Amino acid sequence: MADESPIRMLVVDDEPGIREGCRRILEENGYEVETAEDGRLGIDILSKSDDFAVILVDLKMPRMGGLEFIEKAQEYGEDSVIIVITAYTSIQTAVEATKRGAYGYLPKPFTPDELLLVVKNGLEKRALSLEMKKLRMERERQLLEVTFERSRCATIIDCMTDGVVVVNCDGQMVLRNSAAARILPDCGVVELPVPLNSLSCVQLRDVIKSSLSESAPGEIVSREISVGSYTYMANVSQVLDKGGRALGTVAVLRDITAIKKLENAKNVFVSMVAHEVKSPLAAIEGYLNLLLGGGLENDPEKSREMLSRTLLRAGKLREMISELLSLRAIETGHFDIKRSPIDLIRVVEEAVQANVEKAREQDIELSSKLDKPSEDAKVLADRNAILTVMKNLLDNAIKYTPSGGRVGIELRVDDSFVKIIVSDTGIGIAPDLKDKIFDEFFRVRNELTAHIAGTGLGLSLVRRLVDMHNGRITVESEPGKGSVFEVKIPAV
Amino acid sequence: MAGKKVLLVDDDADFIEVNKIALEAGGFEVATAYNGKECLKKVESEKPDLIVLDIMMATPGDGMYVAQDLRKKDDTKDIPLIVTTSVNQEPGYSLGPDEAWLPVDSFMEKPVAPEKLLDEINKRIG
Repeated sequence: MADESPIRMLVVDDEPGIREGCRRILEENGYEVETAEDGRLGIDILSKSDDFAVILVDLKMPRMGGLEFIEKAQEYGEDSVIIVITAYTSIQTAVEATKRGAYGYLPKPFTPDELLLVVKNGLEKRALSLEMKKLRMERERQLLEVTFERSRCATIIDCMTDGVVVVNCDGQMVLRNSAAARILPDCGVVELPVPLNSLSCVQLRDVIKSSLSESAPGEIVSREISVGSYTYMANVSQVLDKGGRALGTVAVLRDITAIKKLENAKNVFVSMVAHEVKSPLAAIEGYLNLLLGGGLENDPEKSREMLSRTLLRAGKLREMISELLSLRAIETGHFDIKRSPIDLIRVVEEAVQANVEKAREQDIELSSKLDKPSEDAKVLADRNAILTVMKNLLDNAIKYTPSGGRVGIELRVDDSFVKIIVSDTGIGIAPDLKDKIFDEFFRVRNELTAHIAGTGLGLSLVRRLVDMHNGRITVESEPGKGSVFEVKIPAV
Repeated sequence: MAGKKVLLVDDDADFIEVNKIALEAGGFEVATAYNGKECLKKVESEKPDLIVLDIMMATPGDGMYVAQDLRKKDDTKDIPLIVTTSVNQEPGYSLGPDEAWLPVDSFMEKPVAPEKLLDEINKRIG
């Protein structure tokens, strides 16, 4: 009770002699004293300041007696110790006073020592009460903290997107969060703890069991597990107490279904590339073997034809690799298009020039139609990209047009768009294939196209390049009559 | 061996050309088809003694369905079938001569050396 301020006491008695007597004795001992001559005045004082450590009160007083005072005093200063001082002692009044909240009893007349003793006891009792009160509040606060902490942890674990399952050393599942309940449907509804073996997912059971029995502390065991059509990565490690002893294991389940799908798609793609590479190589090796095998010296025409085909396939293989790299670069964002104002007419001329020889070989009429003078046919674009688009479209048109046919490239410019139109009188495209022709490696396969060597990537690349310029490519076609490819790019 | 006809089915014209030359040099008559549909047509019209079929043509699995079709029909189910492919294992299904749903007589992985193909054909109908 190391208080800075003096301990205050209140004496409520109608006898002035008692009041002043108590005041003198108590003040001599360092206490601060206030007095009141009846219960009413005593309550008034309490209502103004209720930090009295001890209250001495007489029972028989005018206006408000001691018992009523004690009752009313409970509203104030709950830490005050009330001592009844009265000449009229009886068991009954003692009981009544105590019932109302009095702590002690001091019968009149009393000596100063008796008074001081009773006051001292009262103060000790008060000190203990206060201490106990403090401890109780502290404990409640700590309990609240722990509960909050525990509930916070539980909330966090329950909100995790990964599944969490904890199994103790006895093989009992003792914790699973909401995510785990969703992932492993059969463990969602049961009340824990349940035996690990009640889990229907064998893979998870096995990896947990092996972690419980074989793992070293700190070691993480990872295993892919599948549940239904989903795949998860289970990372399992031991739960250790402060002494490093294993209490059980915790398994964290992460959804890798999307990643697996991507892996599979990649594998399919690799297979496709392997297939696409093997064909030209097989053709090249085949022809060269035949030529080396002899027997064709008498047929120089046939030999020449085979060598041409060999060269053609080799060239296509090289083209394919290059287109593949471009496509991948675009996909991974490493392909930079440099936009600058380009003169489209020049680009058209260049694209036509690149295909003129091919057209001549196949006896195809290649023409261009440009409806605007040079200065108007400008667009902000990557020159190489646009050139590739035009060259590829012309190359395709020529490839798929039989001898004697016509291929044309047209440029139309208005305020908002630039249109590059490549048309041919070729074999056309079936309606159900119009979208597929832009797919990677897709080539139309029938009697008419079997001799046509292609990479299957040309149109994929064209579409990507057009996309990068915020443009669109469409195709209209009639099988047997011809096709029209239109590339539309915003002029600004 | 004399007078036997082989139907080559593959979407690669050069594969057809190279092997056609080799087979013709080996004494066989050769018919050709570039896809599944054409294959079934030619089987009908040419009545080959053996069919060489690429399993992965225009659409993956195209050749497989053709092979199953051939096996279902009475007049074609006994024609020896040699299947070629670029990949031994494709995601989702594996191929082998013993697969009950893909009854083939042999299974050759590309690139197929023409001499080997000739050997295999001779084994069956030579």
